Amino acid sequence: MDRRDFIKLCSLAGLGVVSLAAPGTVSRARAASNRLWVFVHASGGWDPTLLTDPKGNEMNSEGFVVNNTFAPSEILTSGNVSYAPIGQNAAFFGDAKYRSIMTVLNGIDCETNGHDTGTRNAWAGRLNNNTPAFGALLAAVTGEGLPMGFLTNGGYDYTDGVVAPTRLGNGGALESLLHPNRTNPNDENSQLFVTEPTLERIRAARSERLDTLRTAQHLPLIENAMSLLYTSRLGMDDLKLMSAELTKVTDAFGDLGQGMTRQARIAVAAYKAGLTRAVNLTLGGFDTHGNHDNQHETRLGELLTGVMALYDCAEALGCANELFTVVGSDFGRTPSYNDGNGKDHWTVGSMLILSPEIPGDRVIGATDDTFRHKKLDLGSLEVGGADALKLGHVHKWLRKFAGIADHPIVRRYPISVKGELDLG
Amino acid sequence: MRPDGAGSLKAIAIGLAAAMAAAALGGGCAPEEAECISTYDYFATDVWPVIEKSCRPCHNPTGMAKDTSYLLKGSAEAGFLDHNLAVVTEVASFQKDGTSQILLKPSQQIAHKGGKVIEKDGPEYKALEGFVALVESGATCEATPTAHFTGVELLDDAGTLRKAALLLGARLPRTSELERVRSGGRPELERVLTELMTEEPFYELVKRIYGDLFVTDFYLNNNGNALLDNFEYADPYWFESAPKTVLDQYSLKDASELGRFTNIAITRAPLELIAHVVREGRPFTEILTADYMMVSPLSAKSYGVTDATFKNENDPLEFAEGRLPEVDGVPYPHAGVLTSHVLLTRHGTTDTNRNRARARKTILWFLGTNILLTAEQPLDQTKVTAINPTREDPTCTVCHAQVDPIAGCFQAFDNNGRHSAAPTWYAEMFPAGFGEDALPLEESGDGVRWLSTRIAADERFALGVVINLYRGLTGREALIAPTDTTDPAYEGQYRSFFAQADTFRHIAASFRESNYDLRSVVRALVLSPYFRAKNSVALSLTQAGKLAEVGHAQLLAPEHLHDKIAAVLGMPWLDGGRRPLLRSDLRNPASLGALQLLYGGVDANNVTTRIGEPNGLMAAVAERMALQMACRAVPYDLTRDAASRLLFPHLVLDGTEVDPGELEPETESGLPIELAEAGIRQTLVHLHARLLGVTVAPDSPDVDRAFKLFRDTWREGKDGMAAAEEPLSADLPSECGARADVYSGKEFPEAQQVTRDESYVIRAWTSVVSYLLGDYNFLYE
Repeated sequence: MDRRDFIKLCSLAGLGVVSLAAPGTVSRARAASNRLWVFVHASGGWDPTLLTDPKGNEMNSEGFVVNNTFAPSEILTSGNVSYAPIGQNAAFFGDAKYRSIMTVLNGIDCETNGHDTGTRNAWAGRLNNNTPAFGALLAAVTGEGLPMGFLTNGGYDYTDGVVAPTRLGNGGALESLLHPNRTNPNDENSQLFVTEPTLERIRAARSERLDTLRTAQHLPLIENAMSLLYTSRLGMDDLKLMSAELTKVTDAFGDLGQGMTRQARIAVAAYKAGLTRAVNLTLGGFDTHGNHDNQHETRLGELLTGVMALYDCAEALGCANELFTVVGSDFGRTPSYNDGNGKDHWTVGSMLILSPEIPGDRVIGATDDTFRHKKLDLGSLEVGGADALKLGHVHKWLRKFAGIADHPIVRRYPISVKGELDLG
Repeated sequence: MRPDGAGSLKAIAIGLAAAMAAAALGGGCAPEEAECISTYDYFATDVWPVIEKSCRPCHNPTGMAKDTSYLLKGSAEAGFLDHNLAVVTEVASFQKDGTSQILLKPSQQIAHKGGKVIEKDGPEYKALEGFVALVESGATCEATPTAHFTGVELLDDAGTLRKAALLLGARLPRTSELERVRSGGRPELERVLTELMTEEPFYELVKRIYGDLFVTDFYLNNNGNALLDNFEYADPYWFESAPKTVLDQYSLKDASELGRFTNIAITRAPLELIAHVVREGRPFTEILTADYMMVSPLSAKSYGVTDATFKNENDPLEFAEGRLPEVDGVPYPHAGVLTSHVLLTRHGTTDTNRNRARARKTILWFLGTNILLTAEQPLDQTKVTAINPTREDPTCTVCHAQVDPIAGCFQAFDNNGRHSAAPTWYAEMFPAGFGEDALPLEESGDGVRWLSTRIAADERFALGVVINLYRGLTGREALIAPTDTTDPAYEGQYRSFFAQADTFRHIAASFRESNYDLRSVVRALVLSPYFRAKNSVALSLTQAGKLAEVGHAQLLAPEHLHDKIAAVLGMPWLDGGRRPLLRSDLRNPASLGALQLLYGGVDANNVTTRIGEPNGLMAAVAERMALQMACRAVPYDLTRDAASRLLFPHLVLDGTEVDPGELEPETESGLPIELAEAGIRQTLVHLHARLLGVTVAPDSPDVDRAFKLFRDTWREGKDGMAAAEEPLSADLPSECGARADVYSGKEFPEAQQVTRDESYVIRAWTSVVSYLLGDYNFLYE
């Protein structure tokens, strides 16, 4: 059975491991969608009032101070975006390069203050258990069996089996996998374990046996496992394409860097090699129930530095305009401080979207001085309507914008929130 | 007999009249009836969907009917069906004028504060009516989980043993064990399984299963000693000034190594306690109730523990029971793993969290319930106006009513896991306690121990263990009941859930009856269709939905794959520095294998969930393993004497003993050599059995395929070696030649070494073994 037949069969069987789109090589897959989706997760619940929804240290109508460390008069603005005068905020929000492609969503009703559910809602748009991340859906529908269609460094990467997630970790042992038949993976003149014709013969025999097994199998769980094994091998040979892209990254920056910067650079290299469609980048440490301001400022700085590293790397590899980046968190943090100078969980949050494909330099949604969300009109996007802006709205729009909303795999996970948001 | 549930989940054409007639006969299981169903089954499949939709919205601990005695548990809670069945049965027993209240109230034939929620004589009403009839009949049909799996094809006993031996014992079954099982059947299989669970790899497996939950191995790389810094009795860094005699005693080279082994023991204390309880055959509840902790000779010095007795004082990794010293005359309130320093610190708390995270984990790990799943309904915190919302607002109390009392039991432990004999707690929280019981004030310093005995006595503890082991053995999460009855997939999903819940319920009951023998749970799971199902008859969409979770299709975890490679090939997959690639070194568990995370493993730090579906990178790991290990293992096996061969045992062909490593399939002129082909096919049958665990005939399509691969590779090689330009070498790739013992490193005599392949037969076998090592049946179990 060839690749096209297999993909069709899987789709008909509802296995959801590959796309309905026409199969093809990596280069054809790349041509089908020149967009890298990047989801940046601030793990633990960030504080939007230290980011794009600043309040300052004046007592609010409830007698609380939302932000200890700056006055309302110190709040900075860049175009239409206001931001807290801390950490790396000015370097990021003050840079027109980012602001011009940025949509800030403030006053989001996150509908939960539990980490697991909040993280799921942020990146899947549903509170329900067993909902795949949006990145997983994207990879399943548009990834065409890419070897690392959904690349994840943590955050919310549940897939419900629609696609296999890929973790790169520190990427240190990657080289041995880009050329698995070399006895010395780092030497292009290395001896091979088996000759290339033998390797092809081995692979063909394996595929034939797997196909025989799968055809005779009726239990969905086992049949799906066999299908996933098959699809995982489809793009294996293309992994070697990543070598050249990683070299370009190290040529440009000296090395792959650390932390989120490293995650971002490997992600861009994988995208440029045509291996991935959606990427999760993650930074932890935002659950600041104690010593909030100090810890949060540091973490937000690292987060924004990581996002800037993502764009720097994409520019170096010539694909900055192909990024569609969403930055978000589990939920927000309380409008006031607790006894330990910390802030607890709060169901109001924010999200940033960066893309040259939609209008930029805009802020949608708002909160009042007590950091409670204001309702808006989903049609006009103006504050003062009757709609609470929810993550379900964001994800309904994302699904439409990505062109996957009506795909059978995606329709298995309907978003029930009423009303439509249109950001594009 | 199944009563009529005309509008219920699955209508069965047995009239209510027949049901009542059978009930009148005092039986309820008339033999001529098509189906005999237990009250539990009927409740689960036909009544619960009605109750969940119509009753539970009010009849829950935070709902409008929270002050009634008719309180129902949500489907996210372990054992909710048993609890709710008991509640509904009791309500059903109350009658007015001969009609049950469970019919009268929801249809508002009598006063009901919740109004009319079902129509009299509607389908929901009939489902309830059927339930009342069943209860009144005194039906005694036993629930039989096997009924859920009609049409499923299971592994035979020998196949089950192979799979279990690899998973539980990290080895293949011995010939003697297979013979015992073949002759003794199921009882013998159970005995062999039990024996497997007395071997060291099984304890490693149990530690890995709970390690994945506790993620305490985090401290292997993050200085677990430091956790003891603030304990007045402890000497966490005793090893820094240890004299040479101490190093010699433990055969360790320096203080750094002494410190590393001390840290391993401190970090592994809770997992070693679990292994200890199982090893000693004690009730598994002791993991919560043990009045001791586990220490090594080294960690005992850090803790200041003096009452531990070791079999070998010189073994730095032996563990024994020990008790922390008293502080001001107050003994440390050991309560199994719950009072472990590393567990309390890894799952710490804050001034505002107030042990709630610890409580949530306790409920998750030991009561089988993810409490957060009970709070999936939307919450708008900005609308919460109560002064003390976690006690007063229903949107908060849905979780906090369960979490906060347990959190209060941890009140004697501060944010860093330090114990205080006289703690203070928060009056505005739900009082410390468990279920209906409140923690007595005088036991506030001993709350965790008080709690642990109650959890151990709770029915959900057994179910929680089953769920944990199921996850550990299959790599899959236990199912949660679907709640969206409008979803077209609901029926299939619910049936699938119920089949699993019913199976687990029976296993949990047996576990309790066995006095919490953990091996009974593993045995039952191994013998269940979730482990043994290998195929089924062709299924309709509905049947496929019902059997969606049945079968064992687990991509082997990196540690398991490492074990399987070693067991099957007789040599592990190591890197150039002789370090395992897919698992950590047992004596240096902090150091993960270089490919362990890339193959979906975890590090207890940044990566805490395993990947069970292969991606392109994992496929490349498997590919490299198959190529490298075939290249190494084939020549290596040929260095073994005939009696020790694992892959290529000698054959007797036409009365002559033959080495498969010398069998060429064709003559120089290309004519088939029939006898050689027969020998090659015989060896292929053996390789399929050893590597894949499948039985194939010499003329089967599987052997045909493998033979073709062998022959075509051999032809390619012969032609290549004879080529005028760039001929293929007779030397094996240098890293594949077998020159020395893989374990000792001792070089073989030259005559025993296998480094050349003049006939290209070795490389033909390499292609076959590589093909099999990358096969579904090798990579999955």
